[in-house]
Amino acid sequence: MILYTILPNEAVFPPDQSVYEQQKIIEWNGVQLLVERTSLTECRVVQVLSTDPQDYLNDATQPGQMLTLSTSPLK
Amino acid sequence: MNSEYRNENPGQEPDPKKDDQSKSTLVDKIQQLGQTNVPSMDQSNIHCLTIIGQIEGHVQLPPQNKTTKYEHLIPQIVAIEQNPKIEGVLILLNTVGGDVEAGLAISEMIASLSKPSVSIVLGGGHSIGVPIAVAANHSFVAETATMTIHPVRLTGLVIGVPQTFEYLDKMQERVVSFVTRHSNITEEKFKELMFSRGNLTRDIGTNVVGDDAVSYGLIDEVGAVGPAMKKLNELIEEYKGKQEGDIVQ
Repeated sequence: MILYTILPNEAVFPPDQSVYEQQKIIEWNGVQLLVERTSLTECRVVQVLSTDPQDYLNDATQPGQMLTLSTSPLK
Repeated sequence: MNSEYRNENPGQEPDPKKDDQSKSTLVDKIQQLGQTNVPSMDQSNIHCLTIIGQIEGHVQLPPQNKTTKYEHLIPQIVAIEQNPKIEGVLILLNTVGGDVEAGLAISEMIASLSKPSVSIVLGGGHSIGVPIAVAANHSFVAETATMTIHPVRLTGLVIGVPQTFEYLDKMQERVVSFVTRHSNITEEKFKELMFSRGNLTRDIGTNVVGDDAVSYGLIDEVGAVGPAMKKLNELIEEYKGKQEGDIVQ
């Protein structure tokens, strides 16, 4: 099937709602992080949302690092 | 925690568990101490704002798209304005554009910052990235970076065609007036670039490369991080001098 359209791909094929629910923005030691839930208590860092360049040098929050959340995660 | 788990399940593969253990010691450290033993550096007096990917407006884009979320950027700009330890902002742009109103919101916030700001267009600062680039006190463009200037576009369902047309026309006017107010380009030149034909195959608009952006007066200088930091430090000194002068008087 070929679709000839000026509409962007995501407008033609909207992604499933569950895709949005996996990613959340959490605050970790005062730094906002975009994380992806991998299990009930663990999540993977996707992106650091900060203006402080030093925050990007922190080993613990490099994209791909796993974080364990002690209290009710991703709420 | 981990050793107990291992005793209960001796049959599982050993390798991934080892990785898990080394990871979980780090994680435990985070949990127990609230931080890892990363050498702590002094807080930087220059913060950087990254405008990367699409500029997301009211509609959330799918997670596979890289997006700049304006509702997170705007409070960060407020924090920069408020925090006395932050003396300047470096704005890094590599964007394809996106939502016009979200882009204008970010631009206005940057333009109204009292602290010195310097922007660098790296790779691309297309469509609504242009007002964001010119919003800073001084703008840089990398030699290979490009900026596409084109009229406002709309995709999707339109209800109320004449109203929408009027609205888009005003929106376009807002973009043009913002850019001409914050850069050295004239309105005639900017509109000429915006509506010129033949540069984008059949589409109207122009793709302006580094040097050309400077020669049109859209961007102040060609350069990347080195010259930008130098300029920002100069502006910070100037700003500090001005503030001290105010106090003396």
